[in-house]
Amino acid sequence: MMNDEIILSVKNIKKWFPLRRSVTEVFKGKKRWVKAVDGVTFNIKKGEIFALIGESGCGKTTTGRLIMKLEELTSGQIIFKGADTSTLSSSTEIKKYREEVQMVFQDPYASMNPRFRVRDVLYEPLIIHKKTKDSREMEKIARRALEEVKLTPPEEFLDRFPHMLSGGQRQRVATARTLVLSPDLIIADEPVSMIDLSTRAEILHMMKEVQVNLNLTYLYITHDLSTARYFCDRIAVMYLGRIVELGTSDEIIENPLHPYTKALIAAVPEPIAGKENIIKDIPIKGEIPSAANIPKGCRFHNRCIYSKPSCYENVDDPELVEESNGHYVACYRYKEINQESQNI
Amino acid sequence: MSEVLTVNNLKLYYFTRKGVVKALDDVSFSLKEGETLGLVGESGCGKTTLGMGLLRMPSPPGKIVDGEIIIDNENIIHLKENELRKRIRWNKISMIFQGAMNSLTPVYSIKKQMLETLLNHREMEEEQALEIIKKYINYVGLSEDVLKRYPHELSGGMKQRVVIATALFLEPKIVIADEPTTALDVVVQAQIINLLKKLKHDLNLSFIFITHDLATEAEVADRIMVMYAGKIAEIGTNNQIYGKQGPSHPYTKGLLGATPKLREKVEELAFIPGTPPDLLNPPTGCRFHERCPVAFDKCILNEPPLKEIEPEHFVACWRCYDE
Amino acid sequence: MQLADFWKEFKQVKFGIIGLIFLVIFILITIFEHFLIPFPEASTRWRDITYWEDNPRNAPPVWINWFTEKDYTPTTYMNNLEFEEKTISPTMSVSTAILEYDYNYDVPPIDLIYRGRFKGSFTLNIVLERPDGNTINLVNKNFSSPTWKDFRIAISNEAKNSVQSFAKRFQNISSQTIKVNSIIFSEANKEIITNPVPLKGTYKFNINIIKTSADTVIEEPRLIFSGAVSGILGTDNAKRDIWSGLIAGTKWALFIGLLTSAISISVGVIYGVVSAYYGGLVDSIMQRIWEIFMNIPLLPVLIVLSAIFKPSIWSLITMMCLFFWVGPVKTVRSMALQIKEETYVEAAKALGASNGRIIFKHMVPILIPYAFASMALNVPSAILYEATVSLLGLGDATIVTWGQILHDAMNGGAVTNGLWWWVVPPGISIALIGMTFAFIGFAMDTILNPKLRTR
Repeated sequence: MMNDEIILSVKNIKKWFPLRRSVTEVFKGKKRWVKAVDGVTFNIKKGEIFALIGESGCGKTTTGRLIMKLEELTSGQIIFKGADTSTLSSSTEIKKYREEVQMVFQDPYASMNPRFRVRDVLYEPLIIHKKTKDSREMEKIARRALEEVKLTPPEEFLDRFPHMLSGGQRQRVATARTLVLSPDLIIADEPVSMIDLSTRAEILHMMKEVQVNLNLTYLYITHDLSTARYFCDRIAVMYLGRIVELGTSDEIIENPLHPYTKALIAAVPEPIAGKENIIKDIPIKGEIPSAANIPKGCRFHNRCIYSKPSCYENVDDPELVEESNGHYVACYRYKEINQESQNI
Repeated sequence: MSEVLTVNNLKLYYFTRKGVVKALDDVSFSLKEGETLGLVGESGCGKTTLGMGLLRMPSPPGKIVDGEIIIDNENIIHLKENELRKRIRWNKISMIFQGAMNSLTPVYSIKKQMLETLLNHREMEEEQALEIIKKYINYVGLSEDVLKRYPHELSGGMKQRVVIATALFLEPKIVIADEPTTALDVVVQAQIINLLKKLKHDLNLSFIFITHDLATEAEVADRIMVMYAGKIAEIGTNNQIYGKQGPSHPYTKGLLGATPKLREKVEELAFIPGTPPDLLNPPTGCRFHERCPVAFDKCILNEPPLKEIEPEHFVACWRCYDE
Repeated sequence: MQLADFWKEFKQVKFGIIGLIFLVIFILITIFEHFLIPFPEASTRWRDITYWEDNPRNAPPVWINWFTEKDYTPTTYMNNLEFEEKTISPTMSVSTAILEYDYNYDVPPIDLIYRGRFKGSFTLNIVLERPDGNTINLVNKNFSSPTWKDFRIAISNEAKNSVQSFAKRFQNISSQTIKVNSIIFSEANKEIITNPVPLKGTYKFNINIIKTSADTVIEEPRLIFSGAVSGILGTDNAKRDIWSGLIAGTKWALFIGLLTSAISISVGVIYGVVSAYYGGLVDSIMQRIWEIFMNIPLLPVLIVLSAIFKPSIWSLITMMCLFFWVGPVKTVRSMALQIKEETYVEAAKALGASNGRIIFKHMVPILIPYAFASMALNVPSAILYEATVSLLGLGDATIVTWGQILHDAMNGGAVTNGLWWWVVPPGISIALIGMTFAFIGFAMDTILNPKLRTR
């Protein structure tokens, strides 16, 4: 199922949004940027479920949008199935890309036109890509997609409007919509965060089955570490526009190396008895800085409880370094920090 | 420990054009002094309705149809609106609303908004009011210069702290927090939860902490009340619900099974098939029977009452009473 | 959405049915106009005073007789007069017809008119036999023409002298203006001139046509009692039958209203959506263009243009469309700016939808309810605008519209003179047609907006 063939390769991508300047700044020639994505590199293997994790403002959603070509890259490369996506010029090439890379959005209701029936929602990709003019053919494809996401019998759902469906059902339809064109890569942006707890697992279960049946690859974007561990094969932790740690889900959760990852894990609540009167220790300081004012040096240094001047004086952001098989971390002091915590 | 809040047989119905939605149908529980009672359930179970109902502020077309709400030995059900406003709301019981941090008025400074709320409830000089506000701003871990700022200048966590300070500065004994951390990042969530625990301890407050997330609830609540479709399914202590033995009610079991645990490697996450019932036409008998894995014929016909199966542990389920 | 589905839905909405019924009524009126009105050429000959000359001026509708103490003589047409022909000599013959007229009214007709077409020469003689036995020689007049010509006699004019002498036999008063018809139909007593009492009974009009040349031919002779009340909706100060004008104007109302609002709203909505969707420079330019059109006053433009082109309803509609489209643009643009940010629009982009598809399939449909509401409100505006324009002489003089009737009413002193039948019907008609489109618009919104459905 998951071989080592790389389907998506993201190389040092950056997305900087220009910020409005005050008059004096314009005169001084200063430019200000919101550096939403600031040098992100990772690979996704064919057939795997890869998670981008981080808090709000870390750049994970923007990364997803860059891969979807809903935003233009400021610099860097995105290579999909061997081809550099920024060199896609003709509209046919771009359209082909859009067939192969699909997105499931966070809000299941907002992502479908409320005036479209489920049938219209599912036909739309076929119409846009001119796959077939035969309405019977389109209905066949739509039915198959609904069956794949376990909305059966399909007849019962084809003619409904989104507001007649539950949140879970809508997200299934949104997933079915991505399947209609037989894509290779699906980007799921917080697909279950707006769905009831008791249904979440059901949706994730369905998504996993779909992946196995159709040999798909997922990029799963979320802030929820617990769900990511359950659902994903590998996790990349993002902070303020860069990846700070990357590895298999089990490795990251059981053996976190980056201080930020450690803080995230410490902060996640767990349904275990006896914690109601304990003030939790969260190893992190301060607040997330604005992406328009990124700290110099290691951008995490001002929140890191382990930071030393060597982390930010006369240095750039640390690059990802391989600690063990497939486990990467971007921290100058991770070895010493590990020693310290082991000595404790 | 004495009881600061007692609710007896509370019924709150929404009278809509389509019919009567029995959002809260005979709910009884109590809140002890200095404890955090966690109110847990999914969307539509009635937990937010209960929160609003306790302040006697049901959103229209909701009306309290029956029952008692006893705060400080006083049943507030029949009090007149201005009595409620003067003595009860914000004085004895206050609320941190869902998404409250987004309802801070963007055009007024924090100081102005907090002053306005405070002076609306208590007659006092502005100087005195300002002192109280500063005290509570510090309590929630913010510096005083937050007061000069406007909401859009603050982060989500900071705004939530402002809202918490506003709920506390009249020193009520009971605070209802409706999903206070849901919209926040996980690190800020943990920090806010720490703050609430500290406040509970320092100020001897009683909290009702409403959330849909069982994991968050485990970290704050002394006792947990699980609601389903307008009724209470189970009430238990933190240990009874989350401990080794596990909860009794099939719904609670299902919810707990569906909650991913970070540090435990979980192969299969459980889920509860189906969706919560339509409260316009609730199912007969136990409202959970259509989705319950262990339902039998009695469950379809008769509604199970809330019974104490061991000290402090109440369940409403025919399978759970061992006579 | 399929048409069959749509109709099924539409049937369930009461507003829509009422609106549709009225629309159907209006359309039926347009189709059957010719049969509904006594003056079929009302539209084309609205300004031809000869067409209306037989009507009374400012006469109320005939049915007010049900509500008033006094009975008013209604306008009556006597078209079929049976003539008996008697030849006297090779060149002369006399045709006689006796018309019996039952007069049971309190207020006499305004006038009696006898008219027709003729060729040749003849003498017209009309003698009246009153119920009280008195006779009056009303008319004695010669006509001669080698070619076809119309002849027309108005008793109020023609019989003045004879009636005056008749009246003087009973009330000797120095001549002042006498109402000819009043005297004809009043009791012969001392107060016949000053305080006439209606003489009810059967009046016999002896109409003698003495043809004085052999080849004299008379066609379509008819007697018209120009009543004190006239027609279903009375007459205006130009003697025009208002019912005819109203019915004839229906088609123009529908036409002007529908066409103008449909075109201008459609253009405006699409303009607003496109402007919002593209944003940036395109939006700026489009909005500047909009501002130019918005600020040009249409009326002076029309005045200038009328100096060059002959005004017709088509040029007027074109000009109205050219300027009315600005109406919905700003609102549509702000709505579109919000819709543009919706997740499903982004999802469509992610699927590779073209700009055109997003605009027309995702954005414009949301604005259809607003478009219909705008159209509904625009229909009466267009109709009234046309009326204002007509007043300035820029309107199409070849047709009649409700707006014109209203304007003539205002200018003809209908309000100050209490001629309610002139003002109220066109006003109600305009209101009704606006209501019709508003109801249809509400119904369409209920159907097209799935969230409002009750299913």
